[in-house]
Order: sequence, then structure tokens, then C-alpha cells
Amino acid sequence: MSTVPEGGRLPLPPYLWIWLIIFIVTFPFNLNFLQILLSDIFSPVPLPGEEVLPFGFLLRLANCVELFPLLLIIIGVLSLAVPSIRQSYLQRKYGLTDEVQIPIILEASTFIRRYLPDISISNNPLRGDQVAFIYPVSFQKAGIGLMGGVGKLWKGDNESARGVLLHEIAHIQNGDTLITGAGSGFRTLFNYWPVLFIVTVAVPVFIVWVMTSYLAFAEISGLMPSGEVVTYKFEQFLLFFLPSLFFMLLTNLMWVASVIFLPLAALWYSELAADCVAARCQGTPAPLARALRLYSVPVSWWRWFLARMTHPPTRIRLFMLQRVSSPLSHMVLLILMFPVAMVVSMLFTVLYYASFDLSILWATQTPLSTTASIFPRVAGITAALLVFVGLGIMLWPSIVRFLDGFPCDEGDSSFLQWKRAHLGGGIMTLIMALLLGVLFV
Amino acid sequence: MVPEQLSPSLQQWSIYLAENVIPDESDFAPLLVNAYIAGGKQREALFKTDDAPEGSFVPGGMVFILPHVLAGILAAAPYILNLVGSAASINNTLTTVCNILSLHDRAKQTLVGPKPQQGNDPGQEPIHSIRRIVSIIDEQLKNTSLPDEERDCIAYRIIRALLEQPDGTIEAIGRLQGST
Repeated sequence: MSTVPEGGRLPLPPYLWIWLIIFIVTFPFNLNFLQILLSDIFSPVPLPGEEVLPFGFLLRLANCVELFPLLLIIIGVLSLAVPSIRQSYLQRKYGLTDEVQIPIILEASTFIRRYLPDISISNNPLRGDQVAFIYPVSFQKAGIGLMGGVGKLWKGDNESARGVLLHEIAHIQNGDTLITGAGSGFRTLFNYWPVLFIVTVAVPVFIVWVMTSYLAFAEISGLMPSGEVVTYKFEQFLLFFLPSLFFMLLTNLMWVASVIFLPLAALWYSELAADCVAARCQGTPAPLARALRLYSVPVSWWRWFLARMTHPPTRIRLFMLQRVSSPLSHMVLLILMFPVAMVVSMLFTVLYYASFDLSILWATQTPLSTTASIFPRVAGITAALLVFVGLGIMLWPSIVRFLDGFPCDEGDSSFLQWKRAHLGGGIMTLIMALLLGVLFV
Repeated sequence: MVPEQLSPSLQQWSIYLAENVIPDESDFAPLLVNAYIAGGKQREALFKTDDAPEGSFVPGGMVFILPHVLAGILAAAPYILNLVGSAASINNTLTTVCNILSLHDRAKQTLVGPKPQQGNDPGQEPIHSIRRIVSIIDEQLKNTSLPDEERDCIAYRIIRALLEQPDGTIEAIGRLQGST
């Protein structure tokens, strides 16, 4: 049984779980897309236009780069069914053990067990590059990994270290432990995506273009002076090949964004919500802000970008922490984060189809109307999901009271603000759904 | 749990070093020194900078400084052994280092570190050894998040701590040199 920290007894909506429900509900669309991509790659008969291009079959590889993010997220979600996989992976990767017991680790463990008596705690005090993180042990049990970083902080700035541990406790109490692993493939995605794009899109397109140009060169070389032929081919490269490649890059980037944006927003939200609970428990955001600033060391832009696949930028976290003292506006901001992300994710999907249409138009001069036909459908689905999320937000205070059954003083100002924030956030989400439905469906 | 491989005197030396150089890491000092001496993957783990998993507090922390200090001590071992070789040398050098550190503390300003000199013989005067040690440790500490002005000061604190525990220093250097 867990004891809810006093300051964090009013939890915010569990958007990671809501994202998972949305993912499962919309999975048939993803599955359909997956089937199309796979059938295009492995089709025994030539695809349209493939026969007329030399080495045209190479263009099939372009489907791999779209398949990659989808597969990673499906694997991530499937892995949630076996929590011990993530536990074993993290234990191995970060060398977690429960054998080393030094006083600092024991003190930190005692502090955690005040809130979570049944928690599994393991550690690796030798890894100063890590602070603390959560992992699932089973469906019912969570674990915390205490690393050297938090031990060092415990001695240097005890209040900040307690803030860090309260952040982790909040993650567990918000129910994030079982779901965070779904996003574990995002860093892998961006680590390999550029190479995959070059190998499966840029290189095949270049080969096909070179071969097509070579054959065309042979045909027109007798009809035009050689200087003009070279100029013509150079123009073709600049005005046809490069823009086509750009549109392909844009299409693929929009696809990646449409696949990962919503779960990423849910991950970011879970961090901000955990910060919020920790700051309220401590009565001040200062210790947590100090810890955030301490770990905000300059890194390369690529490393910074990859870090964003798990955590929001420190500036956003500090910005939100500064607003903890105005609970109503702070909570409304947090609550609206996910519904707004749903709309942005919808826009990425539309932009994906639009850039696809543009790339086809540029390459074949054939206008497609995929975007026009898909937009009302995507907007309709998003509006329906926003209604579900909006109602969920409005009902969340009642759900919490029903599940936790904690005694609430109806006259308590923090409780009233919590209820108002959910009511306001829910209404605003429903308005977004209404606007989408009325304007675009 | 204190590692069994580390002798009591070495444990004491590691704690003394950490308390005087990086007090935040003193509780971990015997573990860190033991892992460094053990070598292989244990030593590698001390210098790792992996990304943190989802659900951690921040995407990545900062490595411990003590392993870098140990690497610096190992690299500067001939010069350090030269300093701790005789009681007279220890006293003279300690006075010099303490004077430098007190200047640091009093002035609260960056002291420009002595520039490394090429071709110095470890057998020359202690000041040359100090210069070389500071230069080597400073180079090693560049791999940490320590600001420039702190690195220089820390290098002198390391020398002071090493000289104040000469027996432990000799034993530690022996173990560090014997490790892989």
C-alpha cells in the first residue's frame, strides 16, 4: 500500500495511460498502414511505374524508413505486456544491484519507503552519470534505481536530492512505471533514422536518377550539342532531383512526427506532472529547480536533441516550476498540454499527406487529392478522441475520489482549485473538439 | 558495504583524499577507488556517460570527479613519488602548496596555473614536480564539468592531500600502477 505525499494527493490526469488507450483504439489504422508498407516492399508483381524506371525496384526500399518508427512504437507497446523485460534490460545496462549498501543509499531508501513501503530499490553507486529512475518489477510492483548521482546530491544538497526522489515517487504514484517503456525506442529511432533515410531513400533515388539520366543522355546526345546536354542534366539535377529528395525528406519527417509526437508529449507531461507533485510536496520549487540547473550541463546539439526524446527541455521544466505557486493556472496549463498535442499531432499527419502529394506532383506532374480527402477523416477522428479526453479530464477528480477514496474537504481551497482546473481543462478540450468537428469535418 | 579488496589504510587514504578535494564524493571514495583499481569493466563504468532511461529525473547526470582524480594521480605518478620521497621534500612542498592554496582562498580569484615545461626531469626541484602534477591533473579534469578556475585549485588540494598522507599515497600509487 502506498502513502500519497501530502502535497501531491491531488493527481493530474494520467496522459500516458490515455495515450495508450488512444494507441490501441487507433491501432487498426496503423495496422492497415503497416500492411500496405509491407505488401509494397514484398510485392511479387512490379509496383506502378516501377517497370519503366531502370532499377525502379530499389524505390521499394523507401517504405522501410516509414516502417521503422511504426515498428519501434509497436514493439515498445508490446514490451509493456512483459514488465520484467524492461527490468532486466535496465538492470543489465546500468549494473543495478542490491548488494552494495552504503549509508547514503540506505538513507535515501528509508526516505523512499516512507511513501512507498513495498517498493523494490536497487542501486549502482558507481554510476555518477545517472541520478535515479523508475522501472517496473511486475504489474503490481515498481522499482527505483538509485544511482551515484543522487547519492552525491544527497550529501551536497539534501533538499534537492529529496526533491529528485519525490519526483520519482510521483512517477510511480501517477502510474507511469508500466508505460514509460513504450517510448524507449525514440532515441534509437533518431540515432538510426538519418542513416536509414540515406540508405533506403536517398541512395536508391540517386541510383535510379543516374540510370535514367544515363539512358536519356544516350537518346538525346545525338539531337543536342554536348554542352547543352550537360546544362540540361544539371538543370534536371537542381530543379527535379534535389526538390524531389527534399519533398521525400519532408514527407518522412512529417511521418515520424505524426507517429511519435503524441507519446512524446505524454512522456514530457509525465515529467512535468512529477515535477509539480515533488515541488508541492516540498512546499517550494527551489530545491528541484537547483537540481535541474545542476544537471543542465552544456552538450552537443545532437545529444541535446536525443535527450528531448525522454525529457522536456530544462527551460520548460523551470518555467513550469516557477508557476507552481499559482496552482490553478499551473494545473490548467499541464492539463491542456495533451489535448493541444493531439491537435498538433493531427496537423503532422495532414502535413505528411500534403508533402506526399507535393512530392508526387513534383515528380510526375500528377496532382493528387489525398490530403483533401484524408483531412476531414483525420479531423473527425481527432475530434472524437478529444471528446473522449475532455470527458476524461472532467471526470478525473471523481475517478480519483472513487479509486483512492481519500477524504476531501470540499471547502479546502487546493481541492477546489484542483476540481476547477479539471473542469476548465475539460471544457476547453471539448471546445477544441467542437471547433475541429464544425470547421473541418 | 566497504569493499574487501581495499586495505584499511587505502580506505582511509581514499576518504581523506575525497574529503579534502571533493567532499560530496567522500562516502563513495572507497567504492570508487576499489572499482578503479579493479580495472576492466568496473573502471569503465566510472567514466560512462550513458543517456538515462525514460522515467529518470534528468536525461543524464555528471560523472564522478574522483575517478578522474585517480587517473590524474596515475598519470603523474613519477612526479608525485618524487615529492613524497623524503620528509624534507614533503615539508617544503607542503608549505609551498599551502601558501598557494591560502592565496587562492584569500584572493578568491583565479590563479594562473604554472605552465607545463617540456623535458623536465622528475629529479629536479620540487617546484618542477608540482608544475607537472598540476598540469597533468588539470588536463585530466578537463573531462569533467568542473569550471576552469576550480580545476587549478583542486589540483593543488590533491597535492596537499597526497603529501599529508605519504604512506597511503605510495601504497595507492603502487596499487594504481598494478591495475589494468
